[in-house]
Amino acid sequence: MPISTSGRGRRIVPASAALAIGLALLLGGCGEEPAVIIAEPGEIPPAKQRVGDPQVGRQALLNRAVVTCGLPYSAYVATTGAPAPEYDLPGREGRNAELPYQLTVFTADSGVELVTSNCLGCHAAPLNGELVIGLGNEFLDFTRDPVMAVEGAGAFVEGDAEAAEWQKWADRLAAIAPWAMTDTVGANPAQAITLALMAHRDPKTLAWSDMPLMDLPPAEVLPVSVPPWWNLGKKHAVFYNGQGRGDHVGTMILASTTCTDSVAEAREIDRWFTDVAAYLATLTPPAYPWPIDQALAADGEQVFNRECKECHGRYGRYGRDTRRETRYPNQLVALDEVGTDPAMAELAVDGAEDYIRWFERSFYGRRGDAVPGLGYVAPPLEGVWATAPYLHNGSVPSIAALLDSSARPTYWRHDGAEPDYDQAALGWRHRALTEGREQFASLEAQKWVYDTTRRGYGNQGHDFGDELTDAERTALLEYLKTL
Amino acid sequence: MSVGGAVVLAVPLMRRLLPWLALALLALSAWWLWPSGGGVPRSALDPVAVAAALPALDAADGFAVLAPAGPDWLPLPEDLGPHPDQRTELWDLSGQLRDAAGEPVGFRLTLVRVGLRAAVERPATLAADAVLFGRFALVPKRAPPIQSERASRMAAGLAGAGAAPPAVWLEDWRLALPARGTDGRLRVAAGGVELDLTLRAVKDPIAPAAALLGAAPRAAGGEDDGPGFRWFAAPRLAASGQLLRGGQALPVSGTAWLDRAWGGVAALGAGGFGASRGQLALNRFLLQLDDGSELLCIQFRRRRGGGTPVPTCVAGAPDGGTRVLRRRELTLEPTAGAWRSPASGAVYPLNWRLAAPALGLDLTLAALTPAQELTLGEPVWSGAVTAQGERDGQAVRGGGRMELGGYAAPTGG
Repeated sequence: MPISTSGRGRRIVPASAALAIGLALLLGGCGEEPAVIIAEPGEIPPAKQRVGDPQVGRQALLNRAVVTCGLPYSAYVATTGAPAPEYDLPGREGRNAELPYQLTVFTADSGVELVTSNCLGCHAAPLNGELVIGLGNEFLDFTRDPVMAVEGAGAFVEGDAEAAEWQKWADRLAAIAPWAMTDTVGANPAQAITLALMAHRDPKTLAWSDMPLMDLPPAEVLPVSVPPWWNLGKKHAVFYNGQGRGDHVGTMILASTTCTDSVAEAREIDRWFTDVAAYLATLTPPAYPWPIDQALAADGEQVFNRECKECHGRYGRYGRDTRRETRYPNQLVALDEVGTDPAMAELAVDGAEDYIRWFERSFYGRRGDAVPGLGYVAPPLEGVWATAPYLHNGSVPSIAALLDSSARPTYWRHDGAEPDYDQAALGWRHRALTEGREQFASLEAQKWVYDTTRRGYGNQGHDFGDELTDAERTALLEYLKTL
Repeated sequence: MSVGGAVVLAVPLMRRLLPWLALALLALSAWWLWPSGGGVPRSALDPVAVAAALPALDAADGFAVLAPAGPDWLPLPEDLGPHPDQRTELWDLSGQLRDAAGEPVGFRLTLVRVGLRAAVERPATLAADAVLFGRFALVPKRAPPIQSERASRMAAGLAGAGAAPPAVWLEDWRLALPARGTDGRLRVAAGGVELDLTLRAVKDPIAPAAALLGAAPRAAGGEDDGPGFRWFAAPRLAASGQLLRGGQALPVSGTAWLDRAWGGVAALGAGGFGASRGQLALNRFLLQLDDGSELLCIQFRRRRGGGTPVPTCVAGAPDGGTRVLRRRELTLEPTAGAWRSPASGAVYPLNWRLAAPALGLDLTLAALTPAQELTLGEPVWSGAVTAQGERDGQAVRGGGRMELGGYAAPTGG
């Protein structure tokens, strides 16, 4: 039964009813505090997405700046030497064609050309020598202090207009820097960054305040594994915890709040990002590039449909060309059922009322709703073979370990700084370690150690594969290669 | 929740920044003496020597070009001596002494060799292949500092540098460098005072730039180790001897630090950091503590104020090991007490707090005496400081020197 409290309290409702109630409250309660709605486990209802042009969206994704502050181009050249792009990315135009894929040029009102970070920094990654748009980069290093790099870049900034642009950018990054760092390679601080940005903005005007306007998020930054974009078209909620419902664009462009200082600017980004969202919905996963034992995969499909489909859906024989058979249930699975590390879901609910209200009140929540849940969404599994490490926090290095909890290393590290695929275990090659990071003297060595004993980094739960026989597990792994 | 945003740009930035920071850590120590980018040392230096030195600076010159040093670079024993195939090099010795009464005395001798042409065929001692610039400072606590500059062509015995034993001399200023198992000696006379010290190496040399690079992010896809120069330091020399003034000998003893560096002019002079660069200004701190440890720190901050000052330190342990400490591991900030220079009008913070919780260290730094400003180019405060505080609850003290840049009002807009 739904639990409902009045006034400023928290409402817990079945997920399917949450949106309707939320809308009713918003319509009926003009001028009142927005309701804080916490979803109950179960199916997340669909929501109509605005129509966009995928082709225009791709062009915009590759060439338009969503973060509108950055380093003056002249200083970028002086600091980095303007290295040539490492990967071929068709569709990059003008100056962007000369920049690494993570960077996009933007001309500020001052006329200064800026180099800004774009979505692809996290949401694209190399795979077998090619850049895959939509593949989360699980090798990013957020252990570096952005303040040192960004302030230090000032040594190469010349000119008053350039200095002013650099200062704005550096000030923003300094304000969120404590929430923009993790101490483990691959652990992404996105959740904490977004909360920190919200705390510095007026939800109504989006004006930036150097002093935080509400409590800043906890100092302890939780790790996030970057989810693949090619599942967005199926997902009814953007985030792992079922948060980000309704129209997805507002939730997606929350990332741009680093420098989006007015509703007018947000509205402009929202307009072209509707096309980007339409493009993202057309993305498909990369095909498994190595041989697949078809007979074994067929056995695995039976195991999958028996054990996995209730939450993860049904993909049909070899997924791709069998759309009619595909069904994805958008299930938010309760924490006590999935059993995976609860910290991320709890952070978005416990004491998070101010952030939820901020979102609902802001331009970003105009067409969408936060509605976090105390659980995690069982994701669509297309291209799952490419998305190691697994679980929302990236704590399990391979699918083999995900399906056998006794095989999950307590401490592990990537085997090398470059992704190297392990075709037997389905994941990036890694090494299990017997001790945590303390065994290494230098921070440079420590940062490679994923320590699952730390808060938020746990690798427990999702032990549904433990009951499988070895033969079933082997067959299931083979099937997952086909998705 | 959503994208990591602008933070990702930090990765390519760091690749080039750290090597330059390593250079700044060195170059600031003597930037005012490098003949860099037209900024000639403006003082009572030998005008003939300066005129002879400068026209050739930008020309193709036949000097050897050094590849950038990687994090694994280590000096050789003969690197104490001169490198005539290199355009510029530096011997920079500074230390803190105490007299019999325990009164502190700071000193520093900086010698910069600037090659005029590569000394390949002719012995350097017979022709004016190079000019040696020098500056000496002696800073007693209770008397005005003595400061003196000079320059001479490295010819006819006026000035020179030798390899065996390693030594460098500029007229009657002589520095014999201490090698493993062999004591060195410093003899300098200026302003009616003579300093005569025996120098003994207590620790093996360290390479601060290499330490900084070794601790730097090593991203895939190529690295930039920065400009070609070499730099090592003898981080702890035991110094003892006497100070002669008016025929009276005053016994003194203490510790000293020697910086040795060489490379191209572009690397060490015009291309490096001065006391400020772009939007940044730099401060540098070199400390030797009486528990056998050292700290070499740089702090950069916005020249026009605001922002987050960023300190970085290379810490030397009593056993000779080094460790890099970064912003989040350090507190380095001015405390009350600023001094306005009557010469330049610059207002310098002469009292600082340096804390490194990871080392259990909390220090207060104070200028030995305020009047140690240098106005040879852009004004900097460059002088002797004392340090006191505690490490893990135990009292610790020491001294060293501090360079403060970018505190003068900007001129010419």
